[in-house]
Parts: sequence; structure tokens; C-alpha cells
Amino acid sequence: MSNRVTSLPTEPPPFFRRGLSPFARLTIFGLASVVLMFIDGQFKTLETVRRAVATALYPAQQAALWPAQAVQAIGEFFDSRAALRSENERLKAELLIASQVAQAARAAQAELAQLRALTDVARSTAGAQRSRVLFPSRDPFSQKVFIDRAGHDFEAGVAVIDERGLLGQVTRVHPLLAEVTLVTEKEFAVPVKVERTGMRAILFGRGPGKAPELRFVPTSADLRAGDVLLTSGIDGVYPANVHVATVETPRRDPESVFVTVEATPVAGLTSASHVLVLPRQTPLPPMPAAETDPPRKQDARRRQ
Amino acid sequence: MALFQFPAAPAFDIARPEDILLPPRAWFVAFTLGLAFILNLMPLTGLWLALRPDFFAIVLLYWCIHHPRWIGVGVAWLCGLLTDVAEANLFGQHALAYTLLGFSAEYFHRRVLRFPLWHQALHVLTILLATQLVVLVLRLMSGASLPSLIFLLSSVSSALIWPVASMLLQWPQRVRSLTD
Repeated sequence: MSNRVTSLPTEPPPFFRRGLSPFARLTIFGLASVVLMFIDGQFKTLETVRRAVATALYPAQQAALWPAQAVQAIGEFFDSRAALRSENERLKAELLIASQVAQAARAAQAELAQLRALTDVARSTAGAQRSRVLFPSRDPFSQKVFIDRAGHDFEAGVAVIDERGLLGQVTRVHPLLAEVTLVTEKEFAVPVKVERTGMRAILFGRGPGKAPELRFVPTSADLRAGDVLLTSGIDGVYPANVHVATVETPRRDPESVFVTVEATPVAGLTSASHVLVLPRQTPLPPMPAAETDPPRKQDARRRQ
Repeated sequence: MALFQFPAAPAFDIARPEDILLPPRAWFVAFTLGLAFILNLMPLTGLWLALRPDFFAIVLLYWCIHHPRWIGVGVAWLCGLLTDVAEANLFGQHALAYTLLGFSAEYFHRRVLRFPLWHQALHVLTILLATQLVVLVLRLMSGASLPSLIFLLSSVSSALIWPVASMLLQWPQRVRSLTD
């Protein structure tokens, strides 16, 4: 009997080396992830990488959309004739109203053009681009949709509306698609005014499943349920007078100096299929240097 | 010899660790991962999204458990990065979560494979829940508000498809010429 092999080797011979141990790899890749998160969160320098990967993923995303589109196409095919007819009648009635409104608008626009020519304001909302919503974000923590950017040209920061009101803001653009952050995203701020009274306030999103709220509204403010909130247009991002939300019943808490005002967004945040991307508004004039002015609140754009 | 008998496995059980299988082809591994990724990109929202199994994680977990020397922590990390870009969230959060997934798969693979499929699914459920909790903690740390916790249902549905996924993924590696 050989006495050489008395104990089993505790380590595999080098012949069977398997590289780094799982623990070492866990540490290395875990640290790499943490560093990436830190860089992405603090410096925003990974946008080029993100853009390149997102562009490469575009075909895969289109492929994933295909089943949904097929189901939709089949559904449309089997739409009943009656449904189409009733819709047609409804649309005709709406067209009648719309044409009336359009006529009034045409007169108003002519008047506006004259006024503009008089004041020489080079501001217009022409140049808005129509895009379609490709898919919502699958992240349960955030409120985003992706819209088509192929053939369009817009930058991050521009406002996005649908036929009912403000949807949100383009926060990231890739060559073929763009990311729109919805008004319900947490800490997403929109400067608004109340249509009825003209009072200005800022609407803050509060995350998925919660209605955005108006912050820092004094208890004395004249606000009622059903009040319409429009963009105030003082921020240079959103054009003025876009419908944003409708106020719910304000809640006055005796312990607080502010009223709790929730507002329901009017745009089809989850249902919009076509959206309008508005051009960037003209930049604000520089702040006056004089100290005599009352301190003005700086434009409350998106805080990230 | 037979000191310990394994409990009778369901009829649709997959191969035991001692059974001989053909090695998987690299293109098949890549193809299944790609297909699972595309399945994950389906445009779902709300409850449907919460009920959708994380196909990518399941396929990744299958390869990590069955072939830890090929597909391990590194591939899992890359898959996590892809998911981060596709879902437009913080770079690295899924990378970290999937790294942990790859590690736990590698660490437990001998143990997991000893069990019948439904018991394996329980192990898988634990790993997937841990992965989702990592993402949850990271998002809460980066300032997101707590979403409704039904999104954790995704782990349950993923674990439920584990037996089927295992059988499908093992199909091409089975030796079919053995007839007796």
C-alpha cells in the first residue's frame, strides 16, 4: 500500500483551477456596479454609453412590441360596424363644434399676429412635432414613457403634450427614441397657475399611484375642487396656458400653515398614443441686477 | 449502495446531476438569453407587469445553476447592465442585483440540482426575491418612493415557470440515441 496519499488534498490541483473564487468575482462585479451607480447618479457621464446601448437595443424593443401591435390590429379588424358608425356620428358632432371653435380661433389668431407684429415678439408654438408613444417604462419605481424620435429632431428638456394636456418633459434622448418623464414622477415640478384666480403655484409629482400636489399653498388661498391648473409659462420650458391638472378638494389641516392640494393630471398619462413635442420656449431675459426688486422665485424646472 | 433514496420525482422531472447530457452550444445559450430579454421588453403595465415573470432572470439563473463554469457572475453582470439601459433607470442597479443572482446560483448550484423541480422552484423563488429586494433597497436609497409591493409577485410567477423553463432549456442537451 502506498503511504503517500494519506490525506485528501484540500485544494484542487492547479490542473483544475477555475479562476477567481465566486466570492472574489462577487466583490469585483458588485463594486463595479456600485461605482457605475455612483458615476451615473452624480456625474451623468455615462450618457454616451447608455445612448449606444439603447440604440443597439432598438430592434429588440421593436420586436417586443410586435405581439401587442398584432393583438391591436386583430382587435381593430373585428371592430363592429355599429361601433364604427356611432363613433363616426360622434366625431361628426365633435367636428361641428371644433369647426366653430376653429373659426373663432382663426379670427383670434389674425388678431394675435397683428399684435405680435406690433410688439415684435419672435415667439411661436409652430414647429411642434408629432410623435407616437412606443411603450411605457417597465420600472415600477418611476413614471416614464418612451416616444419615437426617428425622423424627429428635439432635445432633452422640451415639453410633451397630448390632446388633453401636459404629459411631461423629455428627459433623455437617444437617436431613435426619447424618454418622457411624466408629471406624476416623484419631485417632478411644473409651475402652474389657477385658471380662475391667476394664482401661481408649483405642482410636484409624488410618484406612481399618487396624485401630484401643489406645495406651499397658504391656507388663505382661494382654491376649490375642480379648479383648472394651467402652465404659467414663466419657466421657459412649458408654454403658457397648457392644461395640466384639475384640483381635488383641498384639505386644510389646522396644524399646518399650508393647504394640502392634490390635483389629477388631465393628460392621458397611461393611454396617450400620439403626443406633440413642443419646441423649446424662448429663454428668459437675464435677471435684473438691481437689488430693489422683490426676491423672485427662480424657475422651478425639473429637479432630479 | 442505496443508503438514501430520493423521493419519487414528478414524471416531468429533468435530468439528475448524474445523468449524462450533451454540453449546451454557445449559440443556444446566447439565443435563449436574447429571447428572454425580448420577452422582458413586452410593453405591459400595472398588474400585468407585476405578474409577468422575469424571463431574463429565469434563463440566466438556469444557465448559472446548470453551467456555472461557463455562465457566472460576469455574464450576469453584463445582463444586468443591459436591463438597466432597457428600463432607463440608474446604471448599475440591476447589474448589482444580477451579480448577486449569479453568485447565489453558483454558490447553491450543487444543492439546488439535488432537488426535484418544485423544490428547485422554491430555491429559485428565494434567490429572485433577494434580487428584487436589492433593487428595492437601491431605489429607495436613490430617492424613489415605495411602489406598491405587488411588483414582488414577479418573483412568484418567475418561480412558477421555473420547472417548464428548465425542461425547455434542457431539451436540446438530452441524449436521445439511447434506446433500451
